[in-house]
Amino acid sequence: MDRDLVEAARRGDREAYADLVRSRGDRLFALAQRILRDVDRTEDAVQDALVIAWRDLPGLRDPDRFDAWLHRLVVRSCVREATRQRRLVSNLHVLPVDLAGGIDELVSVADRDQLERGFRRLDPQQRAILVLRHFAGFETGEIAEILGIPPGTARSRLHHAHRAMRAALDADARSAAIGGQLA
Amino acid sequence: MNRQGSIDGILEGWFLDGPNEMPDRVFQAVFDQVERAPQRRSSRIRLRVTDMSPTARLLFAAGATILVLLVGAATVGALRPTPTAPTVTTSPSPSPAASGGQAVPATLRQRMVGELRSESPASAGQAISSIEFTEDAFSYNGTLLVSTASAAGPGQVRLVSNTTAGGCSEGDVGRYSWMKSRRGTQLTFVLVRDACAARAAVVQGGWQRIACETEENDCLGPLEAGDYSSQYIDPFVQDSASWKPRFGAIHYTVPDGWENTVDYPGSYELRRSADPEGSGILVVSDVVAISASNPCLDEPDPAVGRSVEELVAWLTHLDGAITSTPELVRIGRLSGYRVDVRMDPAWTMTCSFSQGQPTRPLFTDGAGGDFHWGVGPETRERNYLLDSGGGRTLLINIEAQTQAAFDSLVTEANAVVRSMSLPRP
Repeated sequence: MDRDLVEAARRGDREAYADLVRSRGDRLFALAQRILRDVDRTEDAVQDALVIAWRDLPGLRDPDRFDAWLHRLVVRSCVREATRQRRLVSNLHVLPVDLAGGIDELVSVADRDQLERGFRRLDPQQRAILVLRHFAGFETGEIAEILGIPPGTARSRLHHAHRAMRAALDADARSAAIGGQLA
Repeated sequence: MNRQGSIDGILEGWFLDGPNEMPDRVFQAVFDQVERAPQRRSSRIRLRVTDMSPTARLLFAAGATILVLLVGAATVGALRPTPTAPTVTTSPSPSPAASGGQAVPATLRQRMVGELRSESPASAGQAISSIEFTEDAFSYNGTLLVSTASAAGPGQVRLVSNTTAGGCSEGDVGRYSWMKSRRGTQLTFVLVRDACAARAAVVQGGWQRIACETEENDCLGPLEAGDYSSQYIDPFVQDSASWKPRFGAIHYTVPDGWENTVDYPGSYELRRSADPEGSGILVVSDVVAISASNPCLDEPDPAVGRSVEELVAWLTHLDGAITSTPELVRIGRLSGYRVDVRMDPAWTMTCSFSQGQPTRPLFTDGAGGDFHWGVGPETRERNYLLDSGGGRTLLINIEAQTQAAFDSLVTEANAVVRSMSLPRP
């Protein structure tokens, strides 16, 4: 039972903690990769978060909140990593692509490129909340618990993240159009 | 793309693409770090602090300071490693004995290094921090913050500035508590009070003792069990001209009985004090394949790429070398392969330096140094070839000159290597 494992790990049982990590590692890794869009930085972020979790586990008061707490650590680690990454790539010029018209598929190759660019334009917090909702499938209340914010704030942030994503995609489409005219 | 439709559905579809499994090397890296990482038990510590004696409080504060120091970031600047310790400028002020003060305790009379105290004006233009005590004097980075020093009761030292270089006014008085680790390889200073803020920002915190026994080097020397930081090696150095010290670039944990014998811009060595020559761990910043046409010279092979994948492919097909199957590893933040190497018993080539014994040269130094690495008839090696960015490779090598010596070393050495926290380029 995971609660037993969490309590054992809180008392310093490394094997128990290893079991917890093994059963959650893939899911956390997948979540982090969707936020960071870079496997190397995902590895760094998840590794850091899982080591911090071990170190700070005795401070977790309620073992039943372990998963939400662990997600929070991973999201925070991703935000730190993404913030660092943005500083490094802030001068990169994003090349526009020529979007094919009349795409019927939900996510075509061109769409993926456009989504990738649009998503990277969001700030890390916005990326995280979209991933928590649309990849991990958390409800607003769960997102609020993970991020340590009130549910109303989570709803508001999710709304703004959606708007930001739409705006980023619109901006990208305009770039593509200008690029197409210049070409 | 129809963005008028549901962006929810679009994102959900898009997010389906991507990896869903955490690589084994990340699990292993986490388990390695957890193995040596203590847990924080802050609430219990807080309770205890209220009941602590003054001495115990000091120990607690000092321990916390060491922890903060040892996870500190590397610094850059212009200080080069010096073959000999800088000399403390002789104070023109009266000596402690002459002024009635007690001599600085023998434990403190040494040079110590630590991360750059960037908050101190004395650190402007510096690369790392070093302090030195003599019987009656103190200095920072050789010639800064020079002060008269004396013992000030049990576990305390008193400093009186006698220069303005570094940011103090002459006559500024400071007092610090100090504590040392069990064998004195690490010291921690805690500020009691100091009229000079620049000195206060420098002195307090943790320091590593410099006790290098290697001629013309400035390494740590004998270590006791604990965590340590490298001072000078830059794992990503490209050439000697662009090199700057990078304190803490390699942070690691050793058990008792180890020593640091080399800390150069492109290499770092750890070994067990009791082991014979040729045993230990060597980190080399940038390795390349040795020349095929002149393998006895320090010449790279231009036909072999310097990336991890290219070097591993070359190594595992190299005449004269018997290698293990490469295994994916992750050390600190760097990923790569682990390959064990020994010489093929049928190999007969000799070099002028091999004293008539067969040798199979393997690597040389891509940064233009004089590193030359290979295996002899009895040599056993474990090589961690790690991607250090830009298509270049960092080598961590565990080596012993016989199978028995290797067997004795490898478990402990592996744990040290696994403990290394190497930064990302």
